[in-house]
Amino acid sequence: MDRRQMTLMLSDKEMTLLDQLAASRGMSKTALVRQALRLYQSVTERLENGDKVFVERPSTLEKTELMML
Amino acid sequence: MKELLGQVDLYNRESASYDKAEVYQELDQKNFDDFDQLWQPMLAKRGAEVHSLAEAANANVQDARWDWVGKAKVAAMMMGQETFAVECGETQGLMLVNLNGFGQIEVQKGRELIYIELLATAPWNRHKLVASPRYKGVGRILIATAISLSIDSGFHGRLGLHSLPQSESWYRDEAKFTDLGLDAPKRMHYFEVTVDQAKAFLEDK
Repeated sequence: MDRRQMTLMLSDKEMTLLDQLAASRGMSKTALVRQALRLYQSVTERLENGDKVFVERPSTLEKTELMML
Repeated sequence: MKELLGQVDLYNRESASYDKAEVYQELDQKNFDDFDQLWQPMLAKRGAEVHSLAEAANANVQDARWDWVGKAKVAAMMMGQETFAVECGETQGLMLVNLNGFGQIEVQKGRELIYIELLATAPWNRHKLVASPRYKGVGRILIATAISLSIDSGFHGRLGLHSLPQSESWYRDEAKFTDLGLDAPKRMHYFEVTVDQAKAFLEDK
């Protein structure tokens, strides 16, 4: 697969989060950023098509709609 | 853009020898033409003769209405989807995967995995559909390709898939994948592949 390189400047807070997420998911930081892009595209595509995305709390079945502005 | 991933050996039942085949990521017009001109006529002809899901399973044509061309064109625009083809002259197998899947079994619950949306071998390679199937092992090559993608994506080989009824025993008994039972909405058994199962699958020739 063709790959293109870019330099990504992150704040300490963002880099810490990236480190923590990569460690907790057992993925490299590059793999995590790629996965985040895939999920972001998947969610925005659904919203643009008129679908709704919900987060449900199992204990109360309370649903919160994910809104992207 | 279509990319050659590598060469594999495909067992030719007619000559009882191995032929060189290629595995590609992303389908192109050659695959679409093979599907439209070679696969579809065979699937449509046999599909027209069956009148129930059970008969379609017996004839090995449950995928007769899968729109590979349309799905591949959508997949080419989505980061979360990838298509693959095995070619040996003609297109011998096709696969569509989703990279946004998550595990369900306890050992990998909520972990990222590759979900195999569609996987099919060419009609002339299928038992029940033709008297003498040509190539053996196309499905295994595609599953191994999905595991490799899972590893490359940082998912450590984890996979998920729903199986057509006639393939359940292969996934359960041959491939040794975990059968989570009937997924009622889909009316198919759901299987998952753990990190250890993926490793064992790749090591098993």
